[in-house]
Amino acid sequence: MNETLKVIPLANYFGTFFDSPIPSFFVILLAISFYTVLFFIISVALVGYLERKIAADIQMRVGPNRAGPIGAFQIFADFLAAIFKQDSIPTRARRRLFISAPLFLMSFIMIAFGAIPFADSWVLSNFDWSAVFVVVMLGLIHLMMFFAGYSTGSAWSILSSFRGLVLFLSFLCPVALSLLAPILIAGDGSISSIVAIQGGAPWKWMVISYPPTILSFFSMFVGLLIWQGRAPFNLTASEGSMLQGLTSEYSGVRASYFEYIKSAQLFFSSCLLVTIFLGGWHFPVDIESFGRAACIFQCLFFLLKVFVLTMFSIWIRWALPSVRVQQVLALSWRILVPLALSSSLLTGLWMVMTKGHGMGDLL
Amino acid sequence: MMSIRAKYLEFTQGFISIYKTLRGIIPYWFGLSEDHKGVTEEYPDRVSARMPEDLPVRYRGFLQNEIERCTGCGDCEKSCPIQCIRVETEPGLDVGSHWVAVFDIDMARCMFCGLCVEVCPTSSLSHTRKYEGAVFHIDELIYSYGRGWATKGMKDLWRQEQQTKEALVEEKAVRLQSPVGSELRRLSKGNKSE
Repeated sequence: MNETLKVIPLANYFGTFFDSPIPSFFVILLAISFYTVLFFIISVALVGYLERKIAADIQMRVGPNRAGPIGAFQIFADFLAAIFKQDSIPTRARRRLFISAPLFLMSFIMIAFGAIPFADSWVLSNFDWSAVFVVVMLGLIHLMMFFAGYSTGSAWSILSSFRGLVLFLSFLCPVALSLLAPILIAGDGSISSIVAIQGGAPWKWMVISYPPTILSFFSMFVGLLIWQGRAPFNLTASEGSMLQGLTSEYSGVRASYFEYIKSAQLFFSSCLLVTIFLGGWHFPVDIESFGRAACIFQCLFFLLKVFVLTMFSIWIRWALPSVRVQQVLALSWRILVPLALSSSLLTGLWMVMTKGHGMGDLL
Repeated sequence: MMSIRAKYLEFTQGFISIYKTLRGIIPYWFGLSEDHKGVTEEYPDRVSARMPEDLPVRYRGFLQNEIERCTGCGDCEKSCPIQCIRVETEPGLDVGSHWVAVFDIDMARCMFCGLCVEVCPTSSLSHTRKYEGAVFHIDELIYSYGRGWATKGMKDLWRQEQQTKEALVEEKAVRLQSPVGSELRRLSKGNKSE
């Protein structure tokens, strides 16, 4: 196949299905749309529905049950309703920023999704240091949310955005420093190297194979919860005090963008954690003989792990009360950053003592 | 500054409290016992069977009027705080009785306070236990219990009935040779009473 397709492994994978040579442009387009449709829209539809249903179960009520067999089409019904709503833009808003901020957010998170491998060679971008790239995208997404609130010109939204800046200060260091340990073990900053050293069975995952990374996992998990702005860290949009927060002035489809971004953020955090710490897409049983169909099993196993983590995040959201501004800062700088740094220190010690092997190599 | 031991204690206590909170949510999440299951009534598709009996004994539902017992006194109209009852009568069959032609209750305005039911002297106006009265047009919410304006034919009929009744009374008086009958005859001819 065309050499350019090697840069996009998913396009290369699709290209192997076609016997006659077709222009690489179409294969790349197919790869990008496959990724976007399958892993962004389905994640929003599934994760959003899952969140509402689990929240209802925890709160002793029913949840969506009219729009579809068990309420499965509620997100689509909400989208349809949002399209017909009046699109109001405040007069003091910075119009172009107001209109483009949610679109920037959606595109940033789709770009970030491109770096996550869902199966062997099912990834859009595979360059060196893609782990750091993902952290940069996380920061950009958060800053764009600040601008979304700032562009409205309304004092309430600006207040919420500045509280969101506190979250920005809190999540970046734990998430970035938690990557030190996996990068140290993998030797390379790209996510595919970090996944490659892991395996399918639980004792080959990074958290179990190299035990000091558990501290990194915890630090990154809490850091990503802070990034999402979910309860218990909902400083920008809590149901008791800030209510809608920085999305107050948005109506109709623009407001629903923020809901989708929240669901996509949840899915993305779980994907990132599973990729780096919980074995990624590796399948526990040897399925090399399946050839190209092995990717489907790997993707399904990956999604299983992702959904377990997603449900754990949803569980945390609906169980725990919110923290104060000082508490999230204290948590981040006094607990998570030291944990991440000590994790990298201990990982270094481990690597020296075991000469780079993990516990998964023993079994 | 806390000592290291105090920090360690605080950390573990935080972990333990989070663990206990999360563990306490599990019965509600999976509905593990009847106390933890959902309590939503999915009205109107799936309501628990006890909903009609759940209404209180003196529940004030939509109003109804038994027009045969209604005297057309208009006390309900005067006592209604929102003036949602309209009563119009005309002279009826007997002397002093009313023919209740129009008796409209505007249920859109009615607040179900029950003052009209309290003052009704014959208890013809009463509450039902009906609470599902949604309609498509607001005009359908005006409940009419009136009998309609008396037509000329009806008035002729009444006059005929009245004359028949008077004739019967006179005939009876004549039969019984009572002084009433002769007195009535004399008075009707314009003579003074003795």
